Amino acid sequence: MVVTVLGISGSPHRHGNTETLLDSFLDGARSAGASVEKVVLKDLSYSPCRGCNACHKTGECVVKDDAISLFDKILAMDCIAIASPIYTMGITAELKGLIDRGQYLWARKFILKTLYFSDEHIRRHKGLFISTAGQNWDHVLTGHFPQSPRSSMAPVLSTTTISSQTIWTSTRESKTTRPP
Amino acid sequence: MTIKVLAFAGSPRRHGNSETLLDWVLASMAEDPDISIEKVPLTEANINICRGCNACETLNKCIQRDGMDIYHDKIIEADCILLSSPIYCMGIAALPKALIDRAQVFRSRKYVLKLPIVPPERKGKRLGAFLASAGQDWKYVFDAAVPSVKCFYHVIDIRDADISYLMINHVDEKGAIEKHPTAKADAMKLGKTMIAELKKRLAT
Repeated sequence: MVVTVLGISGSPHRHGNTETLLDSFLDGARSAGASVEKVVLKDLSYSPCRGCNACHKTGECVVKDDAISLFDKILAMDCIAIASPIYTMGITAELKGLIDRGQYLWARKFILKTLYFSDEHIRRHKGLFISTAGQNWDHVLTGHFPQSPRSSMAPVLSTTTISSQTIWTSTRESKTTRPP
Repeated sequence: MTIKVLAFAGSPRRHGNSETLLDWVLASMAEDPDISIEKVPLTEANINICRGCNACETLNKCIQRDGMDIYHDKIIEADCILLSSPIYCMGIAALPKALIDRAQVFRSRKYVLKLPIVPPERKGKRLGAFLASAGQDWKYVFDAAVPSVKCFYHVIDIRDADISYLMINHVDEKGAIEKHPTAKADAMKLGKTMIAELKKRLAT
């Protein structure tokens, strides 16, 4: 079975550092036999979440635009790599705008309890965050993924040591069951 | 002498919890006759997202012509700049993040071109405050928003020590903040404290 990989580039800047890193990851995935697709958020048209909370009751977003078709794709893929440069100590407004629009899926999962996945799906489903930052501060890449003090941190690789080999090693180590 | 207050209401939901918090601060400030207040809901501000082109590093201005043309000047003129945002998905909402990213022109001016943001006589006299609300009751729910907010204030020449924070967690539905035991009193007190401090600074 072919593993499907979706790369989402959240940079407004085409072919910059972050997208180059994402491309390298996708090339690696392709050469390992995956079916790969890349989406550039800059080319899509979607508005930010309105915070209306209508989805808490309906499980549907009242705004119909490119974000919804992208979330359909996200749900269908095995591996999702999201990429964003760090702008002012956080992800870009493009990517934050998309993430916030996922609120209807949050509502389905945690309020309406209509969204759930099989164990098989969860084992196969992998997430990866790819980023670059201009600053050389150690904490520039950690501010935007707050973690509960009790949860174990996902493997973090600094930009200075990143390579496709270490990405794969770390994602494998982070789960007890590997994808086939 | 009039103290100029510029307040950005960052929530896509009008008159929700974070905006109410902002309104309380503004109401306590407005009790003073020497204050002029301008409140800007970002839903109506027409601020596009930063394109990451870095042209501002050489041009000293942004290549985009939109609402930011107006707010760029107002940010420089204001003595006090307030920003409110709800926390969405553990971070600042996309609208205020767009405003913060567009402040890149100030960052280029300050750190690349080494030019002043405000005239020397106003330096160190400005204050900022970040007002936020979050549905989650986790204490660390605001942690990821704060570094971006600090960047925003630093590049517009408001020092770390001159930024105040009032961040209320565990308020989700519209109006929930009204029932919070201390939010209103804290917001009113913050407004009064900031105005007193601004008067002291601007008198010297």
